[in-house]
Amino acid sequence: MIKTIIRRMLILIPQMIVLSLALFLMADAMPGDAIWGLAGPEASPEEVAALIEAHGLDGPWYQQYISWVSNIIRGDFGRSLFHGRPVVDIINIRIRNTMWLSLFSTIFTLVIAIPFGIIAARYVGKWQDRSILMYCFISSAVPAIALAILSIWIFALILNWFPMGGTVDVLISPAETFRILLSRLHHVMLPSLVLAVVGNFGTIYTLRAQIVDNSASAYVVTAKSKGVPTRTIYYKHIMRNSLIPFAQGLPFLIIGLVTGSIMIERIFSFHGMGDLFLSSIQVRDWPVVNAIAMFYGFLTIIGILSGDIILTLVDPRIKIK
Amino acid sequence: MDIETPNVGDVKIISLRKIFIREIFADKLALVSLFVFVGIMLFVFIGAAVIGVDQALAFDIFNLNQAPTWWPFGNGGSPTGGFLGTTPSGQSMAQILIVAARNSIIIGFSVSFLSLTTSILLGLVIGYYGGHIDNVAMRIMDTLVIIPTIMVMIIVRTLMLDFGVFHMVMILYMFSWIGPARGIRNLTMGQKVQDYVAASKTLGTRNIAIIFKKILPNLTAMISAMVVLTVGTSIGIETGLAVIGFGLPVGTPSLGNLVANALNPTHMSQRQWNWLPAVILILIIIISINFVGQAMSRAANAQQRLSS
Repeated sequence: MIKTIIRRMLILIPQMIVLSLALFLMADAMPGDAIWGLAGPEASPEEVAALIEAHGLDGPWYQQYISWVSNIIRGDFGRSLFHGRPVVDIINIRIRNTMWLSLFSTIFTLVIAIPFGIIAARYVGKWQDRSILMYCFISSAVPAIALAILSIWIFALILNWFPMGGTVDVLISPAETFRILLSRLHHVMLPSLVLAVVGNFGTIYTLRAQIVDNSASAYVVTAKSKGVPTRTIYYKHIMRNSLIPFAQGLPFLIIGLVTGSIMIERIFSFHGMGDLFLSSIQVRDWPVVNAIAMFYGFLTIIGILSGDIILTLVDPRIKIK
Repeated sequence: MDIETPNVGDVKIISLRKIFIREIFADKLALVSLFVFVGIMLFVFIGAAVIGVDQALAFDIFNLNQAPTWWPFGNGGSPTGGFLGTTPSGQSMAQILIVAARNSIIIGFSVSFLSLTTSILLGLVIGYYGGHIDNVAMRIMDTLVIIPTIMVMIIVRTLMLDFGVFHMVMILYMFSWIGPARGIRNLTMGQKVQDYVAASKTLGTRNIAIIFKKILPNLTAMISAMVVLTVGTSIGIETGLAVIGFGLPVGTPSLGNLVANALNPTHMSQRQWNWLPAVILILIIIISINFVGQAMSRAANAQQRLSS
């Protein structure tokens, strides 16, 4: 088991190298840079040159790349050219908001998807199943952006149920911890609901297909002929087996929600990683841009790996090759 | 259950086109969607040709921010607003919308054409030959999967100083071929082991001929579903990029650029005609495209067909 995990991780190393190299070369080719903004309008060429040297931006690209990568391995993502602070510090503030958002969108996804999947599978072909499949179909087709804008208009502006954007009400003094928490919850509701509604169709499809498959299997027929009540069959026998591929898909689901939040965060002016990425790229602050893109790539790798590990843990029949 | 052995002489070979048509007629929703989508396409292309892009973008400084004539909210309609009102620079929203929808549909189809051409060639070759070619290609695709696509698209967008419809198509094309290529590769692997391929090989048909004359026709239904669905996805991503500020320049109207108007608080709260028609049009286009695509992929899979 540990051997296979280590082997899988070794395969991931070249993937990370390719990703980092691609990102680095793209950042290198980016027109304009934030050094001039950092130096200010009255800086002499010597001062700019000193700043370039201080940020390690002199020398050929492969030297810069090697020093950048070796710093990352040591946990140092460099300094932001725009904020003038270590990248890790800036990301540290934003990552909490993104975690908060993905936590709630995961919860909403599961809260909607699990009952829908079960209902659809229990009433295959009936109107319940058909309307849930129609919901899945529309949610898979509709772009998140369109839904986000419509929901801001309807729920925030017309009905006034949720704030239009932001992460927390700035008028509340930081001392009132409980009201801050409530306000955060209030702000995170609408974006996470939008993410959940456009992202949960895959979970519903998987769950429904699993339950339908398992209902036809021999052990369910045996249980039925023994006279086990339908409820017990569903909750004790079928559900347990149907959750296996579901558990494997869980990391993917969470990653999908995290990466899918880039656009949603911008629209809801939610100050998370995606919003930081977009505002950094607008000022050409490439240390932050690359750090975030690397982080998301790394997250995807971890997700794929942990999906496989979960699968072997819950289902000993499957072995990772 | 009785199983009837079909008499070989009775089996009718039905052409794929007939299965398509039958499947679409069996699903009323898909039929309506097809009509809606083709109707929108015709209207938008003919309309844009009649109006002309220059006319649609022409300013009228005496007619700014007029509500549509029938507008029921706020201060009501304005007599000079026309059917969909006017933009902050006095352009007619209805004309802009037609040109924008045409541009977005062109982008969608171009991306779809390019990415499916790539993935058909790649998928057929690696699926048919297998072995080392397949191994190498699959490892490359595995690596591409971990790339945060939206982020890389945005980075590449900032690398381009000059940006137009062509560049947008290239950016959307960049990652859109990976999924279909994988799918076609898997389908090809399934077809490769079938008897008709073995028979062709025995007859001495060349590999290239087997791939394109024997296997490809059997995948047509699945591929056409992928074509249609890629159009929808591309329009969706274009909208997303435009809304977060990395879309086409203002001089090139697209549905995404119109939806991006919603970020302006005044437009959002009072002048909804600047973005709402575009949002509704996108929803109609994408949902109808997906209904047609779904019917096509059902036609490809004999088990799921609604018509028999």
